Amino acid sequence: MRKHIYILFILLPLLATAQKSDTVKQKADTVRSKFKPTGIRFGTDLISIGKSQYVKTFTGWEVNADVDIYRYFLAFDYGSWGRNYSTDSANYSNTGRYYRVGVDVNFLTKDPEKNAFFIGMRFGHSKFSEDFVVDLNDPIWGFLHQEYTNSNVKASWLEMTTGIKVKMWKFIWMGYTARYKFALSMSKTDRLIPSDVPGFGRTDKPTTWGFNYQLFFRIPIAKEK
Amino acid sequence: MKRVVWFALFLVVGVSCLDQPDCFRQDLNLIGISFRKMYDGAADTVVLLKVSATSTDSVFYENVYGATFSLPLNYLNTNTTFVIEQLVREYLDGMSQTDTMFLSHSSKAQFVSEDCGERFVVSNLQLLRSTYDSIEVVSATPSNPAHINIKVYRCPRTNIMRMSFRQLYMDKNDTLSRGKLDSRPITSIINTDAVTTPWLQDTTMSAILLPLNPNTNSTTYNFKFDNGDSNSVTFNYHIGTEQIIPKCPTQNLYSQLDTTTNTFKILKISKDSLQDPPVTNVETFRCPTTNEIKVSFKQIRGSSKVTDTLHITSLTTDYLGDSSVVSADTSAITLPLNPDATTTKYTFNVTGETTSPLTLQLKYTTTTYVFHSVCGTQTIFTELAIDDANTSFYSANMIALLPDVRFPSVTNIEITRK
Repeated sequence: MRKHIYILFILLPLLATAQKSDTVKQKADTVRSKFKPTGIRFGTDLISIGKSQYVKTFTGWEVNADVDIYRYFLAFDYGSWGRNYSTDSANYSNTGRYYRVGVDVNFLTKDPEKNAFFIGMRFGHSKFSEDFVVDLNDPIWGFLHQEYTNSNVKASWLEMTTGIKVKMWKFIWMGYTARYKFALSMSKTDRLIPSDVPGFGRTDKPTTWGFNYQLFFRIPIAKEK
Repeated sequence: MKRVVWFALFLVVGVSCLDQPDCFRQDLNLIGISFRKMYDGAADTVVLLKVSATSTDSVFYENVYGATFSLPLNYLNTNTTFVIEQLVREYLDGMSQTDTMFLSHSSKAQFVSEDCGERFVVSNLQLLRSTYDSIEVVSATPSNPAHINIKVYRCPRTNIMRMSFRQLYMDKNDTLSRGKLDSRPITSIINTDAVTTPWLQDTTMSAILLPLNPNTNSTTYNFKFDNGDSNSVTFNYHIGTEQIIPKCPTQNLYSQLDTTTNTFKILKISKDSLQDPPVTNVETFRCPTTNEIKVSFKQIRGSSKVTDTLHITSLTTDYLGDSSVVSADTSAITLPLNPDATTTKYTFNVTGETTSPLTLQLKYTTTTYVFHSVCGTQTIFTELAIDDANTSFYSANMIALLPDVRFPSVTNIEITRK
């Protein structure tokens, strides 16, 4: 199943391109110039920054970049994510880095301000460590004080994304991205089952949602036609 | 400004989508144990006197019966040893048998959320050893709620016989038909080896399981039924020994089942050897009752006929004399006919009737017939009619519905009050 999803992920932009093949042949020169990147956007996720400030159990940041190739955006995200929870009987913390790469298809191709309404896919990968200290008194089996650790756990997953990017002022764009995350796989662990994967989220359910609210700066690299 | 509002809206939507932890699962450390019979693999109801584990003072079960039980594994360790004390009834006396089950497993911890804390997932269940005759792990994955992980099989119980009660009918079958199962209200069944402790008491059953004494070649049971009948039967049998199943020790085999003394009118040995699960070894039969009729009471209300309830304080028949009903509200009553005469008179005392006592006299013709050879010649009643001259019971409204007496009894007479 996952193989099919990867193939779909690769073919999606090609399929969209195939519909326009006749036009491409007739106006080859024009299209060739269309496929030249016109700018690179660098941005960051404001939600991660906000959560790091105001949610005491979370620390993290995420930076984003995309480059336009005609109606497609090659997208790259890189971030850091750490959780720290305390309960009466346990202390849990994790920390790790993650990245996402993928392609978005823009449906606002004729917008002169380079605004975008897009749908896309991502491949996500994370490497993280966890510490879990349990100090409990089970009514049947008695006391337990145990420290569990996972080091350098690797996880990967897929995402379907959608969102918008809107020009606010000169070189500044803002946007949001909603992510439907699925097909999580993790490397084997010994005595601790991962609870939270940086970049993905909680592991108790096979799918999860994510949301980014992003601020971008666009650097033009070619003259727009 | 419009763009700011636009983004603020999406921000609210986005924040609402953030992961909100909830208590999604509990510890996955429960195993299910199913007790089964080795003979056929069917579920076996057992009495567990006490179930505990060696590493805790907790008692999981005490004096419970059932065929499946769930038990928690020690998720803080890689081993759990259960001690299971079970009631075993070889003959009449219950004795306890204690077995142990040594299990190994692995356990993983997982943080769930700030609200729910942690959970433990136990897996890779293995049986290290056990004192049971036969036991197997059918699933190595504990769960919550539990499903069956372990099956425990017991050796056959070879000394239990089955006896059923059956009722014959007026079906004009000259050979012994088997009739139908007869649920009989039982006052007590007493084994003469334990007269102070009834084997069964105050129950209604159509078939019973009776253990045979493994130390002698005969066992006697005394029966008392709710209708006043008392019967006694002594079973004789031969005891051999054999290793029936390789995993079980040498066991007694009971065969050549017969009776020496028996006060049941009809008793038939249908299978003279015992097996587990028990099959019917002995059948007792009751002959059909041929002299009972049913009388129902009705009254006219408007244009329809509805059930009438009479409060009868006493009812006597001219040939039995004794009052058979004392103070009862009834809408139908079963009455016996005198087989040695051609009329039977009944006298009713009914509360609220100005002419009480009321009389009902029936006349009929008697002949004899052999329905079942084992029941002998029985009297049958035909041409049933009301003798108006000797009846004061709403005589103008009596209707003879059926002129023949049948069994099971059907309504022959309907008395209608205006």
